[in-house]
Amino acid sequence: MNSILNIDDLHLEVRRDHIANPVLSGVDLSIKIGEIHGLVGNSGAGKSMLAKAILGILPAATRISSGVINFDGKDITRLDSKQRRHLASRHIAMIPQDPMTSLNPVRRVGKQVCDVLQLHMGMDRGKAQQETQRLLDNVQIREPKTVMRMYPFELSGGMRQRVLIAIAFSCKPELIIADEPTTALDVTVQRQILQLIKQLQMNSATALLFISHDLGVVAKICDRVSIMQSGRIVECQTAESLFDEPQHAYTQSLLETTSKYYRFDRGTNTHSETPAEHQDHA
Amino acid sequence: MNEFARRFGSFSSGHLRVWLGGSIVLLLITAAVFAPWIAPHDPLEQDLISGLLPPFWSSDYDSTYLLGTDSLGRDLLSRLIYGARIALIVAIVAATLAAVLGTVLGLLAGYFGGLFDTTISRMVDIWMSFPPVLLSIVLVAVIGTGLHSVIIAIVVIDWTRFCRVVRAEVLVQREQDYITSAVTIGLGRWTILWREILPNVVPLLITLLTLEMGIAIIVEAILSFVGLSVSSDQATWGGLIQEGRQYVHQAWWVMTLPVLCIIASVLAFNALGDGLRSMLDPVMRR
Repeated sequence: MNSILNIDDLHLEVRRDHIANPVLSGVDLSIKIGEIHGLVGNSGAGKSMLAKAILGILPAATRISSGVINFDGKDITRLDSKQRRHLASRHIAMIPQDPMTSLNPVRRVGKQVCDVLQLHMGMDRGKAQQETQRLLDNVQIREPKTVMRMYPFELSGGMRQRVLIAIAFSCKPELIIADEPTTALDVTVQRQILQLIKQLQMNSATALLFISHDLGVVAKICDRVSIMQSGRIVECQTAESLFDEPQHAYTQSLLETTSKYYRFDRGTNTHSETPAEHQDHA
Repeated sequence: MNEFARRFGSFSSGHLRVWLGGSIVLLLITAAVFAPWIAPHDPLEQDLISGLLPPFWSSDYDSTYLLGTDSLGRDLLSRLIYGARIALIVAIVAATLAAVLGTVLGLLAGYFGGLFDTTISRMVDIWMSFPPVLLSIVLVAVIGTGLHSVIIAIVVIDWTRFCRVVRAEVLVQREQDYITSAVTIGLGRWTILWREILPNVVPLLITLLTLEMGIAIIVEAILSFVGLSVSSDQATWGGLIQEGRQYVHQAWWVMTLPVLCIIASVLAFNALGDGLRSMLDPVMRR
């Protein structure tokens, strides 16, 4: 068995006013040990819900109506909440979408990293602090000792995301779910963060589920890509073959809009000879 | 530059309030703690010949009584100082106990929701629909007068303030992303409540607590005004007002001075709480 996560025919629904609305309708997904698996789809396709279902943090009104989430040989939908939390928190980690709000604003950054280490790695305080310093150094934070003593608001978005990445990798989980980890960041920081995630992932045996709606980003770092449309996975391919010969019509249209967008972008650049300037002189 | 000015502005006004409120509160505490040494007279010592003497700014003032005397010739300054003792004990003990009770219930109601929340919230609603002063008078009348019953009355009435506000704040905080992060990390529910949510409620709690101390002083004054506080041989601000009320036409200061004491201390507590809140906010601090 070489896949760490196997999702089989997963159905998920949201109940609102006694009506069940399907969010996921038969998702099949398997993530191999140590791969970066991209999950792409437009807003509302159910990407984040799928992530939440795996992490076990579904909102109260949602319910898994059928299907199996097999993690490391165990169906985690059948575990009770305590067992599940234990398993999921130790072996599945998350890199959140918005680094600005995902750290506790009134606790020092170092403490928040230490928490995880003390909880799962059985370290005492001193050891956890040493390890925290090493982890922060690993995510290329300069002067980790100073940063550990800071509050989140003293750090930039990129720095905060680095801290959160450090937390995600801290317990050497088997799977990390990154739910659009760069959408809240600006483009230059985005690239650094992506490189960092990729590099850390290669140095560990961790599998990564990388959720994004940006095909360009996915192409850069993923091994395999699943395309999601209205609660279903419509196509799953290696990254190269997906971009070379997309099978599903939805994938084709996604790729087309992406390339159209880039062509349009280049076009406006070449035409930008600032006619406004001439008008000013006239 | 503008940013700097704005930050500096809010920063210094917070500081100012803390300093101003804090120094009055400190003065109050000093007066209360060292009352036997500070007070020029025994607050109960009567001097029937020199009743209703005016304070120092008046022309016929007696230098042994700095703030004048009441109808029985007791030194008003000493009585005010001893009155601060009662006021402060009630303020600190009653407000803290009310805060603890209300916060615990508020945290539970807000975080666990469900039946917990329904029960506690309905209880708060019913509680708050009762006129507080009436409730406290009834309470003290039932459990008997004395310092402890004044404190109990205030706790029983005012825990709802804390409960309501804390519950609302917890409802806001528990939907934040950092709580989701804490859940995925695997922290237990109690740990999350204690370590993640509670620190975020603390700034609010401090404001409420100091506000409540001011309110406790007022409630104590009301109860001692109607004679339901400590026994009448102890000097209290409310008791002083009650006594002074009868002679307000001959000697207005007997009633006015304790009123000023109450106003000053309530304002001081409010200013302190407000200032502390802005100073404790990590985003505004620096």
